[in-house]
Amino acid sequence: MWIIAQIFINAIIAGSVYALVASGLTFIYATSRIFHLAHGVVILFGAYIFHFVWVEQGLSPALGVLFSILGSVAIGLLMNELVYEQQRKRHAKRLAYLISTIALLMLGTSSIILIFNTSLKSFNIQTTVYRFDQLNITLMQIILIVISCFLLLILSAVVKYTKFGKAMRATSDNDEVASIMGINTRQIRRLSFGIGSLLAAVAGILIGLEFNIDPNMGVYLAIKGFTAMVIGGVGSIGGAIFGAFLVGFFEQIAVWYFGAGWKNSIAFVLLFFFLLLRPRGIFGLKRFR
Amino acid sequence: MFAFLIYILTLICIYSIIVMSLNLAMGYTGLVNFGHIGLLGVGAYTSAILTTKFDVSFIFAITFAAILCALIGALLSIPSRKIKDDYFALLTLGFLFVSGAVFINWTDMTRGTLGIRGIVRPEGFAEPISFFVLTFIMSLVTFFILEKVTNSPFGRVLEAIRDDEQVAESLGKNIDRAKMVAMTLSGFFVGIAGVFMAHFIRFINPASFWLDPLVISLAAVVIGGLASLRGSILGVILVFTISESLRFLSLPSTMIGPMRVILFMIVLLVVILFRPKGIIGRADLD
Repeated sequence: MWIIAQIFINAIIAGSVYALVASGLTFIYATSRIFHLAHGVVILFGAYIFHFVWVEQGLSPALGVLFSILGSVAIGLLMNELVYEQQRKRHAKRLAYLISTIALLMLGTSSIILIFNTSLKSFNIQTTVYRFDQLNITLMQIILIVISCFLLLILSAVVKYTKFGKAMRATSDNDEVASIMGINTRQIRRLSFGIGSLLAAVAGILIGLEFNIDPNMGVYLAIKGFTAMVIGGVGSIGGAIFGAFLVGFFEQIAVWYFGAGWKNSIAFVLLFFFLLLRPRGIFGLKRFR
Repeated sequence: MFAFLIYILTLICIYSIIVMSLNLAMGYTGLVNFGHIGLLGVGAYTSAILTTKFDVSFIFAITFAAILCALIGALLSIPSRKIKDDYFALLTLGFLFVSGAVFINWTDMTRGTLGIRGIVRPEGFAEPISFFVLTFIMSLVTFFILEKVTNSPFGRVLEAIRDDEQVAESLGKNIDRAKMVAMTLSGFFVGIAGVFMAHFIRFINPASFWLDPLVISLAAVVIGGLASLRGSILGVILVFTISESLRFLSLPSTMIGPMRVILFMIVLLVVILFRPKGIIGRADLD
C-alpha cells in the first residue's frame, strides 16, 4: 500500500515541474499558435546557467537564479523574434513552425553539448529527509512543490485580473479582431514568450536541484509538457496543470511496473490515446482561460 | 583517400533512399513522418538480428525487414485519418521514441545500448567497392520506382491530398487508401535502407537511430526541396559535403558531432526562413 502513496508523492513532485513547463507552453501557444518544442532548450539553458554560476563559478545562488532567468528569457525572446516572427510575416503553415521549432531544439541541444559537454551535472545538495513510516519526502521536494504552486497561482491571477491578461485572452480568442481593437498582438506574443521562458528557467533550476541535468532532458521535457497540454485541452492553463500531474502519475506507474527504461515513452502513449479518443483533452475548452 | 571516398559515397546512396522515401510521405503526401528514422531502425535491427542470431540469408533478411517496415508504415498511416498536420507529426515522433525505447530495453534481442556487432555483408559483396555498387544500384532502383509512382495519376492524387484533402476527397479519390499506400511504400524503402545501413556499418546501437539521423534527413528533404526526388538526392549530397568538410577543420572528435548538427540546423533554418521551397522543390512550407 505504501508504494502507491510513494508513487503519488513522486508523481506530485515530477508533476509540479511538468506543470511549469506545460503552462509555459500553453501561454506561448495561446497567443502564437505555435507548439514551441524548443522550449526544452530554454529549460536547458536555465538549468545550465544556474549550475555554471553557482557551482562552477562559486557565486551566490541568488545571482545564479537571476542570470538563469535573464538568460532563458533572452533566448526565448530571440527565438520568437528571429524565427517565428519572420515566418509569421510570410504566413507560414503550421508545419513550417513545427520544423523550425525542431531545428531550434536540436540547435540548442547541440550548443549545450558543445559548451558544457554531455556529462551529467548535479548540485549535490544536502537536504533533510522526512520519513513517515515507509514514505520519504525531502525538504527540497517540498520547497519545489511550494515554489511551483506559488508561481502557477500568480500566473492564473495575472491572466484573470490584469489588463495584460485580458489582452492576452483576446489575442488567444481571435488575434485579428484583437489587433483591430487596438491590441498590439506582436507585443502580447513577446510578453507571453517572456513569461513562458521565465517559467522554463524556474523549471530548469528546480529540475537541477532535485534531479541531475543532462543535455537530452530538453527534448523529453518539451514532449512531456506538450503531452500535458494536449491531455488537459490545448489552451487551458488549468488543464495543462492537471495534464502535467497526470503525465507525472502515469510515468511513475510505468517506472514502477515496467522499469525506468520506459519512463520517457509513456508520455507518447498517453498522447496517442488522447489524440485518438479525446482530441479536445479533458477540459476541452475552446477558449484560453 | 579512395577508401574514404567509397565510404562517403555509400553513405550518400543509403541516405538518398532514406530521404527520397521520406519525401514521398512528407513532400508528396503532406504526412510529416518524424517516425521515419524509427522505421529505419526497425529495418536495420530486424536484418541484424535475423542474420546474426538466426543465420538466415541476406535476401531473406532484407525481404522480411522491408515487408515488416511496410506494414508498420501502413499502420502509422491509420491515425492520419483523424489526426492531422502537426498533431500527426508529433504522434509519429512518438513512434521514434517508442521504437528507441524498444531498441534499448528489449535486451534479449537487441543487446540494449551495447548494440549488435559482427553483422556481415552479403556474400560476394564483402569488399567496400562491390558493396558500394550494390547500394548504388539499390538507390537507382528506388529512384526510378518512386519517380514512376510520383509521376503517375496516383502521384497526382497524393499531391492533391497534400494541397487540399477535402478537394481530393470531393473528386472521389479514396484518400485514406492513397495515404496508406504512400506510407507503405515509404516504409518499404526506408526498411531496405535500414538493412543496407546495418550491413554496411556492421554495427548498430540505439543511438544510430535517434534524433541525429532524423534531423539530417529532415534537413536534406527541406534543403533539397519538398516533392522533388532529385532535390532529395541533391539535399543529401549537400548535407554530406557540409558535414565532411568539417573534418578538415581538425576539431576535437567530441566536438564534431554537435558541430555538425548545429551547422545542419542553421542551414535548415536559413532555408525555411528565406527559401521555403528548398533548392528545386515544388511544394512550399508557406
